[in-house]
Amino acid sequence: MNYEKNLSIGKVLLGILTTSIFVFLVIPTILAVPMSFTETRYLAFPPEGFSMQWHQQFFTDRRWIEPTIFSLKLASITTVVCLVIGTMASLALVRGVLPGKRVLHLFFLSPMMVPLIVTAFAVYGMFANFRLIGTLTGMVVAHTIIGVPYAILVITANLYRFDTTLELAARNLGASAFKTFMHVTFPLIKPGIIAAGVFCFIESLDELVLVLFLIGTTKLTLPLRMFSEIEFRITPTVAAASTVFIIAAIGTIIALSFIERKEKKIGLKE
Amino acid sequence: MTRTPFFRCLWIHLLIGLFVVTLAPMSGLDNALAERDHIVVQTWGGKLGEAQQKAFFDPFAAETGIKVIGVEAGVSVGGKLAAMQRSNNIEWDITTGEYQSYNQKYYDNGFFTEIDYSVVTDTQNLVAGSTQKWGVAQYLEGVCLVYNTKVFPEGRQPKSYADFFDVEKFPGPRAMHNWGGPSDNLAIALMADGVAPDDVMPIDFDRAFKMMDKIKPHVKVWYTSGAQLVQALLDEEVVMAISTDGRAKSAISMGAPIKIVWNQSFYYLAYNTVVKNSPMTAAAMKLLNFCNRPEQQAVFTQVIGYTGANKKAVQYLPESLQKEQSTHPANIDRVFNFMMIKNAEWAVDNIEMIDEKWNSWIAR
Amino acid sequence: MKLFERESINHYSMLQSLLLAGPLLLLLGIFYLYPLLSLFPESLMKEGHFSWEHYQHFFREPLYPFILLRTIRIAVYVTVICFLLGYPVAYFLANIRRQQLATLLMICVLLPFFTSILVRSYAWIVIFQTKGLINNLLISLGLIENPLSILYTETAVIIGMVHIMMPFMILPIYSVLKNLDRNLLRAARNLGASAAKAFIKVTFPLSLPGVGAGVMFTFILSLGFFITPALLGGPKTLMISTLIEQQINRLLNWDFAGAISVVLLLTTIVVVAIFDKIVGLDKIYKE
Repeated sequence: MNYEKNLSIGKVLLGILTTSIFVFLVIPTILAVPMSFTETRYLAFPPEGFSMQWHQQFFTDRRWIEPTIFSLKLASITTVVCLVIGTMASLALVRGVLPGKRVLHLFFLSPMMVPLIVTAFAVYGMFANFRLIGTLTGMVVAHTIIGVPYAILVITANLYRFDTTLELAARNLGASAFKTFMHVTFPLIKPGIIAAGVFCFIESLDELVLVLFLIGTTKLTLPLRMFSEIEFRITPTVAAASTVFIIAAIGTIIALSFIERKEKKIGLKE
Repeated sequence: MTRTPFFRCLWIHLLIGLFVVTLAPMSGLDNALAERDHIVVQTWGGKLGEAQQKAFFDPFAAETGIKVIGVEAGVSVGGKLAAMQRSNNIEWDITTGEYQSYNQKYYDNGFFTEIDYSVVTDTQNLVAGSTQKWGVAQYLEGVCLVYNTKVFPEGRQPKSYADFFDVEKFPGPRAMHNWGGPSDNLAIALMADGVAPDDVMPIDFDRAFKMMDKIKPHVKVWYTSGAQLVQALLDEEVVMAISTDGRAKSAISMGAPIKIVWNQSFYYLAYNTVVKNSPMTAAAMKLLNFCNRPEQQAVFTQVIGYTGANKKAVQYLPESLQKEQSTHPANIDRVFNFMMIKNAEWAVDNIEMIDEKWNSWIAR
Repeated sequence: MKLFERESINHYSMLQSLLLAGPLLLLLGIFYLYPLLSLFPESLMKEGHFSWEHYQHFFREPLYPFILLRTIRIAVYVTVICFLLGYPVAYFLANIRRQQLATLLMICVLLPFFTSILVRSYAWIVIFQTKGLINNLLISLGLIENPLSILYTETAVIIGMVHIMMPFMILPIYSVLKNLDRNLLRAARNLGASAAKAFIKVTFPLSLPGVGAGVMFTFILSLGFFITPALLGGPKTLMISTLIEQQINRLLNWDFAGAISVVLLLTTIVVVAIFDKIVGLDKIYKE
């Protein structure tokens, strides 16, 4: 048939385009890996010599380990809180009745639009009043404020194009609102939630400005550590840290895909 | 729950686990408002912070029993100081490493306490300009011309700022800073045009920008961080640069083929200050006095390379390092304190106007 | 009372909506809105009394509107490029059958994300610099004689920013496309529409919420960006966020900085509203 042929040419072009984009996405990241094994004390490409010292330093130096653990803890908790609060708010925005919905929607998204330095400067006093400066809780609150816009933006997009007949069916069959959400809605917007979760996690992990103001005097986060390291020289330890994260990320994604495949086997996905 | 797959249970367990983990750290509160018994010093982190810890904080703690912790916070210092005063939540007791123009501004905005010179007494050997109302200088940060020795071999070497601006005789890409406080760039432009250092202020903008226009197309790297400069020198991205002596020495130690020109070199003083309303003011003053000790300053220099403000500190350094210090008798008359040229306060008083003019020029 | 009524069994009454949105409202209200409302009025004051001075300063001095427009321009370039490149990728990802390939490609999309921004920017420096990868490649292939000066130009900044923003464009579109009802597409094809027409008339409009989210992300985040422009570009790519940062940290003018932020915020809202209107997203939101 005529349109079959167009289909394959189109598909080939699409394939070529997307492959080149994938390569574009991956190259700078992949550069970080060999750079972390260089013998020199500065970033060099191609790397000169081979040395594990930067990786060693990253894993053994307390001044790298502590910030890393703190950052991971902070990011994980922030992500969970953002997803829960964000999903609830998204549901209210898309399916609920609220006074001044458009304005409210913009308001929820506004932390993304106000320059971080201004936000940090403004909220410092309030955080000090609540004794939140220098605490994990305080940082979670701060990162949630700027993370929720990410969650809302993605999840509302998923909810707008949502086929509600499945939900209606479940409710008509007697399921409670909560159960319907957990077993019907939630699985269907999962791609959105996972995307939102990734954004929140990374945003917290990479965040520097709010941390500068609110971290207090005894703790450090990973980006803060990297930044002061970079002030004086660009050491390969930073590249080593990145390499570690890359490997961890790849591992997590592969693990998640295995779990998803298991779900498919059990027959829950079509 | 018999039909619920393993995965869904896992989610719930993860959620519960994470919430438990959240509650646990609540006990580790770091309350800045509580009475503290240690001094908190804002440092610029990295190797500089290490040097200060080794040369000053640890020995001070050993001698007096008062613990000193350094906080890596070289970014957003002004904003943080302002935020702290606004909410009366003073996290830092001392700030370090900042130049006079910024410190003056901070002091005028009420961020610093006046130095108690009845406690900070060992100041007689400090370089001129070290003792200010709001701070005591701890080290010098020099500004100098550097060039690539491979591109400019013996006999064809640039020797002055005029050479830096001479693109016919010394062609090639250059680097200059764009990290704020552009009055020294403009001053260098004027000096290259033959103006004596003492006649540079107030800046003749037309004359200065005319010189800068000549060189603008040749400035490849407008560096905003020291590391960026060092990387550019290492990668040989530029053949000449206006650099700080610390970064130049750092690049040289990492193998960059560059040489420092001492002619017309000047320096800034980096000061220690005491934050207003700090609960540890008295102890802070003692620490500031401790930082004046020449032996300690020598330790500092050996770690990070910057020259200490105490002229006697040079004597405590090994022979090989002595000649490189601005305070070495051989060098001390060749270099000058930028803030001590005539009318230097003009630059401080007009910092916003200079910034705006510079930004407008450079952004086009 | 309207409080307890709901549109249908699937929707929430006002009470339920308030309860759902409550936590966020509370959090933002106390820790965000109130502090900002204590700061922004200072932009309308000069030396204790009401004054438009700061806003006047912004518009009077050509530097500031110039930088604002440049920031918007760069953000628009980045958004458009990300959209043109990102949509095909999202489409491709959403339609792959083979699980392993999908996982691998997803890794490719997320990989840059997991690399710290500082490291990524330095990787681009390595690629773009005079003796960097691109120049070495082109010279060794004999395509050019002298090395290209890519680093410290606007081009480098745009490429660097596109690289960082791509996942923000790809993932929202992907998540919406993944959930599309295939039957709608099949129906269109069975009714005789060509592949292209089916896409234009059915798939694309249905993916609009994802597109809207992706565009918003990319545009808004690009406006606030300053790390990558600082490292990869020169002063020619001075962005408005850098100016604001200078005002707060170096010049200690938080009132002027507040004014600039308000102008930026209002501009963002206006641009976003115009975009919504043009693309027709506001009809979707009305639902």
